[in-house]
Amino acid sequence: MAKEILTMPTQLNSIKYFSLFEVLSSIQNTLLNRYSSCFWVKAEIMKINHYIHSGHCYPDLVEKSENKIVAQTRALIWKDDYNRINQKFLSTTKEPLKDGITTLLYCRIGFDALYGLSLRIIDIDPLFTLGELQKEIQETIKKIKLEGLWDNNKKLLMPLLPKRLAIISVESSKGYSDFMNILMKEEPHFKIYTHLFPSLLQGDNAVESMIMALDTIEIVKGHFDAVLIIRGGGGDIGLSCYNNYQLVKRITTFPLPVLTGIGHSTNETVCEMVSNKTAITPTELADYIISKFRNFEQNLKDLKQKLINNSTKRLERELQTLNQYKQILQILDPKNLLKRGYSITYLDDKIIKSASQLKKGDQITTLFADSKAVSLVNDIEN
Amino acid sequence: MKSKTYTEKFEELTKIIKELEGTDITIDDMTSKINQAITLLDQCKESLHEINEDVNKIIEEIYLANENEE
Repeated sequence: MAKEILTMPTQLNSIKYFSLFEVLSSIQNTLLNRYSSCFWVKAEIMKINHYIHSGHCYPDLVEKSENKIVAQTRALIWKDDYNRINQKFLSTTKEPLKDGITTLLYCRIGFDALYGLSLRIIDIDPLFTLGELQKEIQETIKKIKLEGLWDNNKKLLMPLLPKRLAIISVESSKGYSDFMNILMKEEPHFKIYTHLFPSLLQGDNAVESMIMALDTIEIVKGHFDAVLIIRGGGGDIGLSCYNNYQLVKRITTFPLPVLTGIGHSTNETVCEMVSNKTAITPTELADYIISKFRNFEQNLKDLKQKLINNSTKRLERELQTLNQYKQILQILDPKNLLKRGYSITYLDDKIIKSASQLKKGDQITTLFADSKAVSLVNDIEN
Repeated sequence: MKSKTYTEKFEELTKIIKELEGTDITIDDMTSKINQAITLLDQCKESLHEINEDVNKIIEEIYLANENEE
């Protein structure tokens, strides 16, 4: 309760006046008497304004209606309150207190002659904000589906061998180095080419940063087979950017397959839902890429073996047929029949197949394997 | 004149053998047909031998390429 100040106006000639301090102090008294207790307020934190040096926070609170600000005020969170609230907030929502979130605040009215009106925030309900974040996810999903974009990136054909990879990541991150280690060291002979497009991967500015990286890649898309978003080692904090409508839309309208390996243990983000392929960790994503190459290599080996086996077999079969033909020819050759004791009989150079073709007194020629004999027909038995 | 391919020669050979196995052919024609067939057979074998050598050369190259990769 502010100290009661009884103020009397100063008299100068015919004018009575108050000092500014007196006026504002009077307002302070009136306000604090009227609003003495704490209450819950729903408001959007437009800017959190956390000062690291002092540890205090001076958030700008707004209420919007149809995207227009209809109410705005300054607020204040003292250092100790901020640390306690932020900790609780983080563990529930997996997001720090930050710009642009809708919150339920427990506060009281403050008024100061020097700094004016502000809400002093004593507590924030993280469950309310969690619900708001969930709502954002649902809204993003709904909007993307409504626009018919949901399956767009999934429908893009992943090249048989994704050899040229555009990577959106941070060079110094653990996720990136895990990924590159597997890709370059496990199978160096695959010669996979990567190019890093550095970007923020979590927190408030990540959306804009990743969209910019995607814009850059689109300009040189002819040089790449796929885009990989790789994040790892950052824990589960600050992932709500992957539910952002603008980023999700950019992925669903991107001309190359987008693959994600953003390493976390919480629910799948919307970016992961719409991407061409999603792996739980950067390591798993690298294994996926490598496996495509390994499978192809194995297929090639199998095909080579098949080619060798089949051509050899075919030639063997052909040779067998030729040998069979040779046998058939030997059997059919009349010379070989003659050698086995058969003979051929001619009458006037015509082969005689039946005795009925002959009559008594005909002169016939008999052909043997090595010679022939001429005879006269004595008798015919039918 | 372009020399006949293996397949052409083989088809011709098969046709003659079918004729020889039938009953329509006269014994007089047989000798010349059989001689023709034997000539074709020898040519086929020679072609097959050449093809086999070519294929073996290719297979050897494939094996060599495999070794270089590994």
